[in-house]
Amino acid sequence: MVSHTLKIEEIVSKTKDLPTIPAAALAVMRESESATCSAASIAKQIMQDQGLSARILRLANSAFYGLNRQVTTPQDAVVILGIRTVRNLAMVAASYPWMSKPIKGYILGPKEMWAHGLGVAVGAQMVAQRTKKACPDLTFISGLLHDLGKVALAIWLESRSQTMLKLAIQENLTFDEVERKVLGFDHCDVGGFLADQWNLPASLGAAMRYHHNPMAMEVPDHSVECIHIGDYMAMSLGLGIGVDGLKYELQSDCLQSLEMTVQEFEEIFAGFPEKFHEYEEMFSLLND
Amino acid sequence: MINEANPASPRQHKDMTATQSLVGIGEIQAVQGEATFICIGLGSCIGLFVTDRTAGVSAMAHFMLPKAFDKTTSDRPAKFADTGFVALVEMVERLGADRTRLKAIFAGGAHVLQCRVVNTHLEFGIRNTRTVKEMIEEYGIEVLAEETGGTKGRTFSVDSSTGKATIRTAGEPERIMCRIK
Repeated sequence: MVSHTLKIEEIVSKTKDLPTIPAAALAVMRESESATCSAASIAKQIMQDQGLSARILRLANSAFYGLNRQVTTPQDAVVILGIRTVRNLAMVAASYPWMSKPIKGYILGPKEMWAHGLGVAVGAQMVAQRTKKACPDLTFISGLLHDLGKVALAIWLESRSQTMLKLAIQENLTFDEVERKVLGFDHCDVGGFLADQWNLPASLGAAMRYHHNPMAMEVPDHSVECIHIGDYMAMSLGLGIGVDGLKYELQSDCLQSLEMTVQEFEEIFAGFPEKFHEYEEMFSLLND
Repeated sequence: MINEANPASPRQHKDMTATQSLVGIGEIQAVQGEATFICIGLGSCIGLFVTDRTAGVSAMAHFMLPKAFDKTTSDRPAKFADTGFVALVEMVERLGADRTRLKAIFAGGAHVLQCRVVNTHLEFGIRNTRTVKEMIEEYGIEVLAEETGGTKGRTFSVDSSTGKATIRTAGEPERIMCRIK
């Protein structure tokens, strides 16, 4: 087992193949939040990265949006679809390559991490839309990337996942509790650390750090609560669940905080598979 | 083969042979003859397989929630265990099965390890399992095997030609649940 004296900083610095979010996508995200943001300024950031530009145009021209004209430039895409939509497409297109890889440490096959992230994003967005308590678009992106810490931590779990599973069963612990017991920190801590180190927007960092424990936040963050519920929806449908399975806590007091009844939640959940399928189909265009 | 979610077009996984059927959420696949039915990645959902060996009819359903909100307007009855169960039995009867000869195998119904504020209504896995068991009892169907509850995701498959029912979970080898005789 890894010694508890090992720090997150050491784990992160010693981990090869850390996920990367291309600079252009992050620049788009930051630009979208600036007061001087315009279609031209967003397009300029996108065009820094030719691969990203091509993937955004492919998505913008998908049947999902049903446009009756061809989108040919990033600026076109921003004008037609709007800044927030294009910002989300940029983040999705940028994350897809590393999220589609197998994550051996958690026993996730190819595209399973992607399916889980997308499931959480879609579920959280549905809750945000229904409750009107958080921005649906930002919640979608935070939901998509909430498990970034797992990707960084996975390599350290590869030879330990069976032992950790055994420990979880023997001591009836959640998987994040097992991570803390074995490593001294969990994938949420690692995600939060990376978000700080990469200077990601605060909303992303909060989602990575608190998605399993939103009630621990000093100031309630409804977006993180939506992501916690979205995570429950994705786990319940078996989307990208690996060795950790459903070994997590559901903080159902999130529903009260979001002023959502159990009945309302069940109705949202019932519509979740169709909504997930719509997005899954659109983003299948990212397969090269 | 009949597919409840889209009766005109039996849904088959693109990587599978003609006799292998992936049963998606809210779907029922029924066949007279031989087929391998698969429910991939069951979390709190339940995969329910029924067979009438005499008539050579088998089917599998993939239920997501325990009870339909409105039984008359549900666009996809198999999404719910109560309406889906009825639809499943009707479908195999249309293919020549006799409900008194039906035997069942089911799996899934997992749930999160802890619920911070206990709210049993949110435990879909437990409620799904309970509803399926109630329906099975109401119809007097014999259960050959079941594996429900716990915190693992499961892939459940039944090969109606060999009668072999299997379960696979992450990081563990495939296990045989039972062999139908």
